[in-house]
Amino acid sequence: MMTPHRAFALAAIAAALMLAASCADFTSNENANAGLSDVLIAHPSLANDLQPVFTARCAIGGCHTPAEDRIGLILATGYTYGSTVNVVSVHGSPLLRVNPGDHMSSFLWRMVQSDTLLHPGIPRMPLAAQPLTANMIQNIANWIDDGAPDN
Amino acid sequence: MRPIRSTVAALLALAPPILAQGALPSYVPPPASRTVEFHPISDPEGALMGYYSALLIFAPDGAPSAAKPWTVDVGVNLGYVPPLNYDQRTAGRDKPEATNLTSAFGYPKVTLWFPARIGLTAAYTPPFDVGGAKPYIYAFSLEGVLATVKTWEIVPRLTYTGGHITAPITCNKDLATSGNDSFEFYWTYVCNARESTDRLEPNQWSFEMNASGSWMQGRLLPFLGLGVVQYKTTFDIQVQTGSGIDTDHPILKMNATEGYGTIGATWVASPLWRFGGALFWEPGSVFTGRVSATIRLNGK
Repeated sequence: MMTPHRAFALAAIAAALMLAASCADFTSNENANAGLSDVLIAHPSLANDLQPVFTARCAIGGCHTPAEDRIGLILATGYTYGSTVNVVSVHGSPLLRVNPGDHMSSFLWRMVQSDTLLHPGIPRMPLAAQPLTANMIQNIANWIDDGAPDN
Repeated sequence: MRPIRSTVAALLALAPPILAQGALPSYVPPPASRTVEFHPISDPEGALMGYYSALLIFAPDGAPSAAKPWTVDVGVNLGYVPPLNYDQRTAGRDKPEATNLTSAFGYPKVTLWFPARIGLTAAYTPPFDVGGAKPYIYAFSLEGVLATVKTWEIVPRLTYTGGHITAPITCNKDLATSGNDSFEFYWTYVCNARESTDRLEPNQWSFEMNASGSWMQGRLLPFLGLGVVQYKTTFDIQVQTGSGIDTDHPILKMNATEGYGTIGATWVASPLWRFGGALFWEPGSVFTGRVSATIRLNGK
């Protein structure tokens, strides 16, 4: 016959083992590419090559969408060109968001760099997420250096 | 008042809020247009929803033990909520979701036994604030002894779990003091320096086949069960703006059908008291332990 003391001791041991063995049984690996193409393009198109990146990584809920309109910067389809090219940056003034022909002085390109000296006081974008890949960033630079055409 | 009457009175007192909730249409989001995203349970957002939905499955935390008609069992189930690691909390971003708000979740419950060894259980978790999370979860289950094989009883059990939990998961004030520039910027500009009132809505049916044995002259009742659950879980991201909800954030949905298993035992401490313990595993979501305590108000 099991005594109450022994039963409680067994129950306590069982409970301790249960707690020790408990765990969340899943992994959560972030996909930095978000399913996007990650290839270097010498002369990228805004609509075909850059916009999918902006849509997936920037124009998401709470960020650069038409509804949110953070600092007047909308990176959703149909808005990106008018919102960036030759528009003075709010945080990076007097730099332009996109200065056609010169990616180094374009604040949009600077903001996606991990080097914080390029955007002092403001965290790298996309905010609180994995950075864009080197190819994605270079494609933005190539588009700007091509004169930032509305293509 | 005799115990049976007081218990029935308690059941009736529980019924109006539960039935009222059930009579209302499911939660209607604010009138502004919202994006609805469907996530498979395998992606980071879906896995998080699956994890919390699994923790809310109203599985038996002790051996099913039928009683004579009109017997009433009153008890509580308590389950451990394992903390999530950083990767599991990020849900596809670098910013962690504030998911480790509580380490336990429980259901007060009442079971009424009918003839033919059929039991109906109602469970309800009232909206007490626990670590910033406020539950309003209810569950119903119907079980009955299908067959007896030697000393083992085969007990199918059908359960529905609904309601909601609100919690500051997307925007939690911990972001403001995280020491991470990106998270603090997120708190200021995306969260508007306000905690979110995110709303998790389980909406799930589960069905189990349990086998319950009898050892030590009926004082120890081992059991094991295999179940399948159909999830239709909603996670409504409710970032606050100061004048309402920021409707730019999406409503996430996860529909999935998953299997799970339980194994454990009930110790019949006295004709009145029973204590149960069980391991619960839903592969791909959670492995955890649960305990229960039940008082049988009349009968055996």
